Amino acid sequence: MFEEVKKFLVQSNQINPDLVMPETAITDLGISSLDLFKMVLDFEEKFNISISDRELSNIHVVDDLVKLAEK
Amino acid sequence: MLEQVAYRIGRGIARIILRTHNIHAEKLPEINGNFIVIANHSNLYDPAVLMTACKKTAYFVVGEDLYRKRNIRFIERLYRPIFICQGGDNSLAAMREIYSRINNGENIMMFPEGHYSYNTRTEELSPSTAGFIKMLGCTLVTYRIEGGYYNYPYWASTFRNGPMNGSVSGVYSSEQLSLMSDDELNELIRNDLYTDADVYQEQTGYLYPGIRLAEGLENVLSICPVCGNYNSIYAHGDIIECRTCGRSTRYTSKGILARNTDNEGFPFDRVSKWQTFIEDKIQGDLKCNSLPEIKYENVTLFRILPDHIRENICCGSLTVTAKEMHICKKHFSFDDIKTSIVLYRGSTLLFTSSDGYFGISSDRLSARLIETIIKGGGVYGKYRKDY
Repeated sequence: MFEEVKKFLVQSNQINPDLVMPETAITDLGISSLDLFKMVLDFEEKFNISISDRELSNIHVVDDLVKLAEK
Repeated sequence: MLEQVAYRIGRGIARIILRTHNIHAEKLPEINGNFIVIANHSNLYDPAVLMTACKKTAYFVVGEDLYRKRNIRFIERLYRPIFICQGGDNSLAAMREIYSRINNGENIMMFPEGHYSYNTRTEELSPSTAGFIKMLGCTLVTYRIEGGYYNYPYWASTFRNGPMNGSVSGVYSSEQLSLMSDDELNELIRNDLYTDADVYQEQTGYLYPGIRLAEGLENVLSICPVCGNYNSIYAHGDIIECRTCGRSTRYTSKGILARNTDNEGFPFDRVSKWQTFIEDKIQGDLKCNSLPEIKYENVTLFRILPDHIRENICCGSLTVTAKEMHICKKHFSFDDIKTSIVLYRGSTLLFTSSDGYFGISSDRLSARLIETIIKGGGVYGKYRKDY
């Protein structure tokens, strides 16, 4: 699942794939709050999940997205 | 339906408040479709100004600290505000709620600065503001509130009785917004919301009389510009004085620092100029590694848990250095602090570190001083610039 999330992050935000590790902070990827918000909407659609407010508040590192995708 | 009735009642109360406090609010024009109103934020009357201006039911975006105030919890049930974590490291939940409400045809009112004006001027907004507003696809109303800083400055412990004026700066349809680049829209919003309370007071000559006008300034003017000592300023009544060098000055109803007859006073006639000196002094001390260790007693450290619950961790002595602060054996490196905000008359600092969402608070805390050190000493700017 990590690879899938990584591919999604790289494609949707044009990020250097080498930077994307499970422990990488989202803010360190150079993603603004707006980009992150758009990404979350796309993420919910792509992985067919619904992310709660509490889960949204807990998105800090790439691995948090992986766990959400695995739900 | 209940929300519409509650909004009308609230609006009625807001209009009474404005009438009795010499505050004027220009009404919004008729707008087809739903809209978002954004305004600069100067004091706690601002929501009443927007409610008076806006006849249609609209929902506020408010700081999540309001959720913990039991006496105004009824607002949550009646008005369904959108809570946003001030000093929290992401605002995704609030953004999604705003997006969802606009898509449901509701109207939103918000103060994108996120806090009252610190230094008389409208602060820089997040570069993401324009992109987010365009994404909403509704009409944008920009609204400027002037005179609020001097009516009730964020550091003050008392209200002043002076005029405030709210006016519509612009109304922009979603079609107009879509034709603008993000930079153009950010610039337009910046100009529409910009106000400088010092310039406004000088131009209008308005007076803001009241009692104990200077009290609270000690939390803001934390360095003496004459002797350079940290936390030596003391305010009582209308007077501010330095306990170390003995210089003093009087804060007048014009918001001016007037020289006392018995000493030379301080070299600034406005609080904002003194604040600029403090920022420069801290930058200089950080650069020269000469920032002194700063201590505060009886400081409460707390954590904000999910669902807005506050958990007090300890009360004790806080020590702040150029690189970190520690309280009750807990260390916070400034490199690890991503976002922060100063609240409650400059006596509370909320911040997010990798350990969570925390706050420190004390009546005598210069939270703005600590925040300035964090910004200058840590990597705060790296997170802040595009957030």
